[in-house]
Amino acid sequence: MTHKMVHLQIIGLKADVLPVIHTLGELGCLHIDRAGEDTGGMIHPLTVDAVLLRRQEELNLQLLQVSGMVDYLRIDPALAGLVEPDSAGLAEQIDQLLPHLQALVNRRDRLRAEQELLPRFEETMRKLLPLFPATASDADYVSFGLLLSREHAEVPGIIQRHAAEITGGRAEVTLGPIDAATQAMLITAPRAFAEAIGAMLDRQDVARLRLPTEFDSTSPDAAIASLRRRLNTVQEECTAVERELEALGRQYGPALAARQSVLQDELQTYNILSRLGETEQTFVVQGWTPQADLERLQTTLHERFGERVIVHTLPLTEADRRRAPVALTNPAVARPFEGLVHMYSTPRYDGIDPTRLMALFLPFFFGMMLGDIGYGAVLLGGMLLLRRRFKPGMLRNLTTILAYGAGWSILFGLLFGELFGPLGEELGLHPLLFDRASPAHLIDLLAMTLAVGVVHILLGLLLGLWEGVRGRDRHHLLERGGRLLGLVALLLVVGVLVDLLPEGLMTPALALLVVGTVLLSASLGKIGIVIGPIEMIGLLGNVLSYLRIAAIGLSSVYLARVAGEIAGAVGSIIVGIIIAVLLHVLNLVLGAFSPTIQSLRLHYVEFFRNFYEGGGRAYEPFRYRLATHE
Amino acid sequence: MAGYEYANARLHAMKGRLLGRDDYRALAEAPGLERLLAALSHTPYREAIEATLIRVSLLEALNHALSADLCTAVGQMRRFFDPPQGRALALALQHYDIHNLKALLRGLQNRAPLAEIRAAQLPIGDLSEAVLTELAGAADVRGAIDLLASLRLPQASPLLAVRAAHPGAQLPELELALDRWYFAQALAAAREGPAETALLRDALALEADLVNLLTVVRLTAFPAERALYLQRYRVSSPHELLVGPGRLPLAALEEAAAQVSLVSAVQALAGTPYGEPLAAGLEAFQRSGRLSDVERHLRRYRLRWRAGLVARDPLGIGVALGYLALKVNEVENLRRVIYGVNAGLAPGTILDDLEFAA
Amino acid sequence: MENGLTAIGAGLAIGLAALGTGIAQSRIGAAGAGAVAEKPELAGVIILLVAIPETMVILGFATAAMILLLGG
Repeated sequence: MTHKMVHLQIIGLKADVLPVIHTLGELGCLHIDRAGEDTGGMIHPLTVDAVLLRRQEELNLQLLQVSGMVDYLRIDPALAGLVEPDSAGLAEQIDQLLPHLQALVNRRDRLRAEQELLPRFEETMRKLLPLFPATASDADYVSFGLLLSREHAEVPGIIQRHAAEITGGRAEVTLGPIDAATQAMLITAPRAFAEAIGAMLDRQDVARLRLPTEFDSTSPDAAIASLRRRLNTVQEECTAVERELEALGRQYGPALAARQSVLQDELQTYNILSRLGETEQTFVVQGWTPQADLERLQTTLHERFGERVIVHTLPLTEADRRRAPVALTNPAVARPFEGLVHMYSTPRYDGIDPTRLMALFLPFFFGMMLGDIGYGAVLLGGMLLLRRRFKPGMLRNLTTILAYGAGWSILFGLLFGELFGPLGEELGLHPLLFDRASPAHLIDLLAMTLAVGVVHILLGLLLGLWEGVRGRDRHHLLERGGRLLGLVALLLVVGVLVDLLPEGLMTPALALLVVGTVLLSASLGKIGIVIGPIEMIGLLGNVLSYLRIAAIGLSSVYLARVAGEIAGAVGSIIVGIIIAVLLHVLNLVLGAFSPTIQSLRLHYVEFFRNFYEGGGRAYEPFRYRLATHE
Repeated sequence: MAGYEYANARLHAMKGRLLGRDDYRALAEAPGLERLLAALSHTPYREAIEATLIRVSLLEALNHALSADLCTAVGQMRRFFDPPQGRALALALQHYDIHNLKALLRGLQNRAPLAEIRAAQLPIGDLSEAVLTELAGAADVRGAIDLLASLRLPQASPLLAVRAAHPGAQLPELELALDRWYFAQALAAAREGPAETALLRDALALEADLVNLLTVVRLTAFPAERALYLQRYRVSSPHELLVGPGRLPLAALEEAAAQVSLVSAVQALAGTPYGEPLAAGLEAFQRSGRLSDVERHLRRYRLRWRAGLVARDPLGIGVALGYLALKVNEVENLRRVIYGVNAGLAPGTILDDLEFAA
Repeated sequence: MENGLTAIGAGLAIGLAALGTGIAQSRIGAAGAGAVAEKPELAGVIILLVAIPETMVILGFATAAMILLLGG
């Protein structure tokens, strides 16, 4: 079911526009639409003056900055409620934080760059290390590390000759590999020749080994050692920066989160302005509120603004009914299923809300598949325990849904006489209905699931037909009517084939099938001639699809049996029990997961297509994040 | 063929988030950098802006946000693919290393400020931000090359080779060496690769053709300066200036390069796939006298060709290559917008300068 | 002998159908995972798309059951 919605217009003097919007944001029960789109030019979109625009931009910039800080400090937005959101004090605190944070983040970037680069330099140095002669560590000597292309094999010789000429043969020259394209050369010579050699190398345009200046010491061992040391301190500094960021996050977390919410709320106020309309003197808010909230809205506005603001209820036209925002309202039992409906598509305001039907059938299918007292009881217990630990939300709803399913599976366990698979039979449990695992009853099981499928689809088609009648939709009437006739015809044919019905019904059944196909084809337009019959065969596929209830159920039974048999076959009782427990746990996990997905699919694919369109827009009231303002 | 479904679903969505002409218009109309930043914060660049805004000036923040967003997108892309497809993508991305190195060497040569150098780079190749920053801190072109070699990065090898062959080699020679090296090894790697690389091979061939065509255009546009041009590269014949080859055979390019005017060079290439963009570029050149107009038409052709890969290979690597081209183009467009808004250009002028695939 | 062949037939019917479903679902699932990563609100539609090839294995199951029940 959907909440009954009221279409509203709130009209007030322009001077009151911001206070009114604040009030609406605090109330949080008005879904605001763009005003003046269907009033024939009486109301124009509100023009926002330059001052407000300027303010909006400032807020946006501030929000960008604060959000950036929130991200860097990994702050949980839920902290927002912890401090009093008085905006002046907060803004100041945050202004102080900014330069600090900037410095830290820049420092972290530089440290990370070092972490990436220093090991590369170190590796190059290590390749050069074997080339260094003993004299390299001598303070009177100087070394030049060179990097040469292997493509030009003559170059090392030339350089060596030049070095020898300059130093009178007192230079030591060594050559070694770096990688496939490059080799390293090392010239060690008395310090007196340093300048001359350097000039020669520049003339030859030879690439020199370069290290970051702080490591450019004469001795290679010292250079490597200091690189190593630096790497270690970089690691430590990185950790220190991270720790400091964490500390800042803890210190400023609540303030930043609160500031972010304040800014978001304020910006939201300005963004709402663009949806309002105006006349010469007044502003106009147009929107939707649930009937239940109308009175609260009216009285609050009246208390605060008196006669200066008028709440005007608009008549609900046919077009309005189609586009009214949708807030689902269902009994507590069915509410956990609303999420599953939304996941497919939000219902339309004037359409059917399938939540209750889903709440009935989904756990039923689930129970039919799992169908085991033992698994059902364990699952039920587990879900009831888990449920308490989750906050209200998706996960908690899921535990509720599974708990319902577990309940049904205990019931079906009684019907099929299953308790941890065959254990029930051994303990003297007898099926109330039939033993679904026995080959003799396979046909019963298949027939039962098909019957469930037929009922489910028939229900869907009847609902669809009703929708078609209500909406006076010829296309839907033809399509669903055609399917319905086809399904009835199919039932008759099967009935005749298995001798349940007199043979004379065969001809009328086939005639019905033809009529149904024609109707279905007609609904599809020109391509219906081809697609219509295919769709009709698809209907058969839809019914057969419910066989999965039997198939999944059987696989679960057999796995349980295997668990029992393997456990029995192992000599040791303890090992046997362990194996049995493990296999049962596996089966239970599969048994919780697979039937959920399969039941969901039966709803989405087979059930919904016959009546449910969705495509509604969810009720999203304009609501501030923080409860109090100003 | 396994491995593309996930990536392509995501890439299609990412492609859907690229900016459209209306977005650019709204951005170009911003009266200043602050408004531009505000306008950009209403696009998918919001997160990148949030992350950079707290650090630096507006202009830097904008440029930084563009790079950061591009890096995030490409980083995601790299993670979408397993080795065979990932290798093909990496090969395509390595072209940006060459682009970045050339921008860096040119910037160092002109003593451009660091921020300016960074704003010309697209740091999505193998050379990381850290490496590029370190290199940009070098004293001069040679210092940067020495650092590149000291870090044992493969791009150093062609540069060392050219310095050994011609001690004192100048920037044009160095750039040419980088191009020739990249195309030689990328085309070779793409030739031996798996089926994925067939498309990559075409893309690389196009890049090589473009480099060669620009060489031909420069040689023939100003016949009087031809000798000077060859001299700058220290080569005796145009043959030595060509890379690849891509799709266009070297003989055809040499023949075109031998023409005495740009008009006849364009005529000589009329039958090739590049006939149309060359003719359009020639027309623009005759009006403006700027060679960059020819280049622009060729680049536009390349953008459209690469964006077309999405449709040409919708279930394979084409989507990734096409998206990459579009995303890079978006960042380049936004850089033009930032430059234009900062310089106070009229929105119309800014928009005219942007490139679109369609 | 006859029983054995019937069993093999039934096994093939469901086994090959399951293989086909698996291949189809792996590709749809991969694409779906990509789509959901970008647009989480598509989850419902994706479950639907992933579920479509399951019809094959259900038909395989129906066929196998028929072979065993009628042929065996």
